Amino acid sequence: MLQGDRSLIGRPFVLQARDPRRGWMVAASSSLARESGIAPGMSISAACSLMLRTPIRSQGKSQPQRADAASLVVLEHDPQEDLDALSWIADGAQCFSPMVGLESLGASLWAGRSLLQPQALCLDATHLGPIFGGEEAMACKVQEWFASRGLCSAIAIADSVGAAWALANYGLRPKAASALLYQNEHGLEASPGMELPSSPVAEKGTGDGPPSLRPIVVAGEATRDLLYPLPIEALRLDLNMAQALRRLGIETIGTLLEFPRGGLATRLGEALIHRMDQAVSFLEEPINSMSVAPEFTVEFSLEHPTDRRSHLEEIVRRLTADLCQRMAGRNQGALRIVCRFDAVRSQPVVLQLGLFRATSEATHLTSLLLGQLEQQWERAVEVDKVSLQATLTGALNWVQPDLFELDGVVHRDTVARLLDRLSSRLGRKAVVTPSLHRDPVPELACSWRPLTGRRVDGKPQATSRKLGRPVQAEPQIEDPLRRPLALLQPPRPLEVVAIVPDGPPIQFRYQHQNVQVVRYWGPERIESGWWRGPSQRRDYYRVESSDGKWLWLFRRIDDGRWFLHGEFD
Amino acid sequence: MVNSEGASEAMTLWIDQDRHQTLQALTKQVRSLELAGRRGESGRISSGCVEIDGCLPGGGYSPGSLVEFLSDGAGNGGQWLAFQAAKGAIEGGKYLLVVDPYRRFYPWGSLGLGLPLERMIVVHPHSSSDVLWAIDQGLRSTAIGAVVSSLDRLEDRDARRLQLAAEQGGSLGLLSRPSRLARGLPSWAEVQWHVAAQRWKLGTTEDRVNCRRMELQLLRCRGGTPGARLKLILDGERGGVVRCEEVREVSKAEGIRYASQGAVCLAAELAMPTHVARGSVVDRAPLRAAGA
Repeated sequence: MLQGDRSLIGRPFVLQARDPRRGWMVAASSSLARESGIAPGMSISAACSLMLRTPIRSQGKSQPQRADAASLVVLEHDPQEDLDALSWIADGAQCFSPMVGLESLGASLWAGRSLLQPQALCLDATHLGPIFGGEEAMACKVQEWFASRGLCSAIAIADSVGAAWALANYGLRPKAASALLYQNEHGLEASPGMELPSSPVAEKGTGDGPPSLRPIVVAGEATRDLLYPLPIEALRLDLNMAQALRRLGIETIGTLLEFPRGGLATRLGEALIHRMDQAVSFLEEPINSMSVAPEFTVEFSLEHPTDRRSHLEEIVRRLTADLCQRMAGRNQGALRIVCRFDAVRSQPVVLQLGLFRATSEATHLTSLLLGQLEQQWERAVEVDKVSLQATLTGALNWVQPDLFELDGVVHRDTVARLLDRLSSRLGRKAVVTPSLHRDPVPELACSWRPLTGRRVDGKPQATSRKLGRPVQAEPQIEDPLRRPLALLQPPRPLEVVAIVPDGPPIQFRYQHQNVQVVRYWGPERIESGWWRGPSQRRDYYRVESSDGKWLWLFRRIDDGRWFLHGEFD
Repeated sequence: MVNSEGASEAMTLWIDQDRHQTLQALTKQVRSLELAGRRGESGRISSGCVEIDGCLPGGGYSPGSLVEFLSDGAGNGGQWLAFQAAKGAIEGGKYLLVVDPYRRFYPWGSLGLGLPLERMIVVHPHSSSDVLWAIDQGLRSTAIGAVVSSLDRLEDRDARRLQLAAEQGGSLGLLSRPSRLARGLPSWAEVQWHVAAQRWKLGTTEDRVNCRRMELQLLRCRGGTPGARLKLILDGERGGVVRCEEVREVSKAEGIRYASQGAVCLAAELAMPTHVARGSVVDRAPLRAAGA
């Protein structure tokens, strides 16, 4: 989130999701918000009232300040975007292990989690340690890789998935919380977790630098010593099971293991024993690997490493042709492609492509890959192996067009190629399509959806149908000239003169000039519901200045301050 | 004496008429040269307002060309006109590309125009070179009907690149630019408008009506006569249509002033290799010299 929007740095923010029974809930909260006691699973209204009561630490100020409700930023949670982002990371992480997968979920929500969706990655590190110079070095390399992408990671390597999951999620939790808090306060420039094991570890509170998140690497009996003090939620238990155990006074894994297994199994069910075995007795557990079918992976190993780009380009051409031939043979096309150049002495160069439509056209994919290679090839790297994988594929479907849609069909292939080109150079998140919502707060009424790198089911719905235009004869916001074509984000504060305190603006200062208002329309009161988080109460005015310009101003009702929010360009 | 005075008057009249006719003939020749290789009226894209179309040769914007909307500051309404023209350009299933480097475009504002969001692609480039590249790619693509963007500074070479891209793909490039950086300077745009918001005349019964006024001035028009001024009303009550209150044709003095700027237009026109037939460069050489 911080990568996309720098205005969030130093501010507490939460993501909200709609629960069918309980209304709007906190799906995820930033570390600054957690400091105020806002936890996932809480209702948004409770989060707001907490925000009002709790003093928060503010960047650069030693004294705690009392927060106002408006300082909490509430954003919409998009589960698909989360999943996309995690899959994207999993694609890239295949440079460390051939077996990378998302955590497998249970039928119901785990205790300690607020969302029923994968939030962790599992890498099979069996026998991989020696390649990286030991498992600790491997863990550090993985952490560096995450940090280079501006991500904070909590990593644990253990003998089983269950143990590693428990240690990464709960063993590193306090440190992860402080690292995330640092990111929330300072942004991503100084990403935590950059220190190697050999370097002195900066513990929390010893300096101004980011706190370290040293990976946990453990094997054998030592694992149990680390697991015993962890809370029972680290076993990935159902919510009801965890509550039952807590009622019995069982708080930690160590306490739980003191009870006889037979009694636990009869009273609390086999599932608990299974989870205990997965974590403590190192019961094998499959990883739902995201790695692609072997036929969609092609490699080329060089006898002598080369740093000449022309040679590498030729290899990419051949590999792409080979991959496309294999995909076409199975009526599949690539939606995501990862191309990796393994270097002899340095980090591998990884190219990631997202495509709008499944394609198996070699020339198109080659041109995209070579374009990206040109961008990322900063210095000569001695490459000894090039591999190409289609990490997400889709059927090469030919959809029969509607009778009256023939024009659109003509342009569909061409526009798919254009989107691939744009998103390959500018990044997946820079090529988007608008998605409109009926939200009273203007900045929340529109979100942007990346167009490439995802499977699209069905045809895009027409705008009018999607929004479901209300039938009232009253003016609607989609009527012409009701909303500006340019929205300023964040709104710019204005000095406004109004005759009456709650009245319309008469004059304001804009771009070093005093601007007279000759006509205005409003107030249009926009008020977010109490269930949506910190209340946003604004009076919007469309104003026409003395030189005929149209601007969109609002007065914040809570403090009476004026802002410029849009321009009718 | 009377006779001689009468003769001199007749002579002056004759010279005036002759000059007028010569100018007319020359204007006609220049126009036919400028429009050489262009599509007929059927391929034109309507701007969404009959009067605006009337100022343009062929009754609309030419596909595969650049149109610039110059304005002083924000809130003038130039983007609205750009999107309205884009609506005409994406008919027939084509797509609209919005290159928005400042992340300011608000799609709710464009709903009133009836633009289909499912055929709208928005690009948020990070650098000025990426902005130009994205516009270039959009203009080159035959699936894109129109590219709408805001540009501040535009080097001649980059503008030429965009113009060639538009010619290749047949898309309409609609660029909003600040007046202080573009007005009076050579341009590769086929049509250049100056958009200025106008204050509503108060005291009428329609003071509170959801309409706004703007004045449009045709600064440059390849194959047409620049200088025309249009007073427009953007009517929010009637589905955002653009009505024209008044069209002021170019006056004599203004005509001379704009004619003196003809060199700029010609320079742009002559550097259009796709429209210059082989062997005709020699024929145009005197015109170029005369224009310069």
